[in-house]
Amino acid sequence: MEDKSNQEHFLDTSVARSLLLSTQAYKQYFDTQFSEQPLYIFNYVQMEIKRSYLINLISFYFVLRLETINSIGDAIALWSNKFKTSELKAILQLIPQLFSTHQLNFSSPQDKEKALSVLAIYIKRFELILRKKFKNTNIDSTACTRAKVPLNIDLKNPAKGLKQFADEFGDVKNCRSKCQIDQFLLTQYRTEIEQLVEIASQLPKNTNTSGFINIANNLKEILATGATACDCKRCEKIGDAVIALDAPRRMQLEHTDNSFDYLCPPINQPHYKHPSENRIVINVSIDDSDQG
Amino acid sequence: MAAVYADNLLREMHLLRDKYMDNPFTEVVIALHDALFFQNRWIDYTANQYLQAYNLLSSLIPRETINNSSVEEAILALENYGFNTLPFGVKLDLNQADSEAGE
Repeated sequence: MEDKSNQEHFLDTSVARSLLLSTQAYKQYFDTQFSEQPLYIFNYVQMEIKRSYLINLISFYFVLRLETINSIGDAIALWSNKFKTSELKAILQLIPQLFSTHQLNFSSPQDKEKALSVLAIYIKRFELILRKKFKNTNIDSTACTRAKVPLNIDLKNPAKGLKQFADEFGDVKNCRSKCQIDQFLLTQYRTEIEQLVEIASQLPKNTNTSGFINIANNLKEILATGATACDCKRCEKIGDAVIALDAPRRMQLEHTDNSFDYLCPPINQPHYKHPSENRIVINVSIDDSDQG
Repeated sequence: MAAVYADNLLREMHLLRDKYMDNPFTEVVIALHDALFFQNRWIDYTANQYLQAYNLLSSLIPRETINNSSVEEAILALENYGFNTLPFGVKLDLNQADSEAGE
């Protein structure tokens, strides 16, 4: 049997984010999978977590800070009504947990200021742990500029640092002008991408393949159009491909997404798909009820 | 008996948070607070972990100023002692998010 004790683990965004943000049962599952072994990510994965989570937290901070918002409850109500995607709804899971732990009153205008401070401290801590919890491979072939936008928060005036980060992270025109995603896709990994597009063209579309086919369709458009088709919005749609292509081949790519089952084998990237959070949580619940 | 100390600790932490919110020391204390008091996880930590946290905080108190890197080192030390300072669980359906992004 192959000795896996020296296997190095490279985390896709789905796994890195779960290690920071998922339920205790799912975190415990990954702890048993990786035990004390070093876990690696690179800047691009950090950027994806900032884009999908941190920037939404900062948005919520400024919703809560609005002078027209009197309380935590008002901010939650506005957010619930206006923001519908799953990434934005995730904020609605975090906020009640954070503020309830601090025993803040959701309808009290007095507790709004405390909530802003607690949230700023949480955001600062989240960014720190995202930066330090995992080892960085220091591979940065895309030179993603958004990934390098610093978050500097002075707790005497957190809004200033948060706004500066949001402004710079959101300035996709400037960020794109400095990154090398076009060389990465159109030169460095062109052959591999042509191969992936060809494979996708022969697959039937179903729940297992749809993610990969969507990625391949975007890659196909980039191949056809060239560098002008590469922007931060497009990068959001091909992130799994970027991560698979730039992952160190000596490491095992740890992920939960089906797309990697199709992205990794053609480029000889070792990979492992972990069960979804739902599956782990349901199994834990079944085990608990069996014991009860 | 432990609950007596937990209750006292929680109240002192909230007092510190409310009176000295922008103090760097408070930032470290709040990291420990979140690890201990989310879902009453204070009950799961060991005496040795409490001792490590006590020694860490005690080492910060005599300092005239605590700079940002000291705060970061202290929070990372808490993590290394096994305190989960990001205990909150967000269940995000990544496949759903991916398909939304692809729309």
